[in-house]
Amino acid sequence: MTVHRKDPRERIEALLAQAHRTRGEVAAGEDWAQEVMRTIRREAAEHPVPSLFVGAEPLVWRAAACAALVALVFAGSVAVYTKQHAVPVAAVWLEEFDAGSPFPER
Amino acid sequence: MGYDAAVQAPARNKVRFTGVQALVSDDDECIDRVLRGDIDRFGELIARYQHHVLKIVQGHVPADRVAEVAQDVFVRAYAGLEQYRGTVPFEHWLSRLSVRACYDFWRAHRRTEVPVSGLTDDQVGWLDRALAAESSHHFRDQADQRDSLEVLEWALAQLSPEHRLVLTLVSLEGHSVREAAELLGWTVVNVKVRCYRARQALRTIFLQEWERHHHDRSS
Repeated sequence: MTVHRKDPRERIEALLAQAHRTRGEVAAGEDWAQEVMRTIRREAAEHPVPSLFVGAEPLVWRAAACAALVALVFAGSVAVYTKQHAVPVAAVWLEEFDAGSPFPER
Repeated sequence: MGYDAAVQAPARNKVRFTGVQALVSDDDECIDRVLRGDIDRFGELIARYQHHVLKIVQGHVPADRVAEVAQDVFVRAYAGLEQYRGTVPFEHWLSRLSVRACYDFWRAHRRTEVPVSGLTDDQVGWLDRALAAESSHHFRDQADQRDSLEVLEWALAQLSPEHRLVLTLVSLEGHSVREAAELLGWTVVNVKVRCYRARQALRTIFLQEWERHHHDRSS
């Protein structure tokens, strides 16, 4: 490829880019891959992955999402129910409060 | 399939697209098995992506250190496999790790790998000819190509690891600013600013060396 540039600095950059493309490819053989695997096995022996929790993590998140959904539905239904029966619910609570009083009336 | 092709090219035909999908699915299965303790399955990932990683690494570090840095990439990939969420293809994730490993290499070795001497007479001769020539037509013989590669190595060695990396990705390898930003984990603006500064630094380095050399010669 021939590069035509008027600015000499740009021309140098283009020439250097050409030179960069001519770098020879470094090939890694089977030995290299085996050496990498040896290093990784050593790494794994020193810092074992807690495989027990690897599968558990997504389950925990799913369970948390389900619990949040159930809580939301429950809160919504309570809100709707209390709006419809505001007076009876308050009365029930008050009744319970009165009934639970530790000081009997004289 | 290369990084750029995977990012940019639409699925031109169904067969190719299906191939990529199958590869991604294989990767996910391999990763899952490795995380469950079947370490040997990681060898499949190495076999599949070693060429891709080596190709990235050899563009950034000296030839005699490529194998070492590429090994570091795979060791990091194994160590960080739990952090891989599968939101991007495994190949892209490895590309980022590779660029990051090259950056760390230069941060650790800059002091030892940088040549203390300036350019040789031959290399300054190349620079003179490059400045005088109207095109690169005259730079096709082997000696010139060897000189240009040596000049390139010398010049890059003068730059900071950040400037070196961004200049190589954008100016020498022709990645877009957005691609470079993804690979480096920087913002697009950051890449633009650093690339501009790197080019300015490179020009200053050449100019100073050229002036120093000609001053020494005349005195």
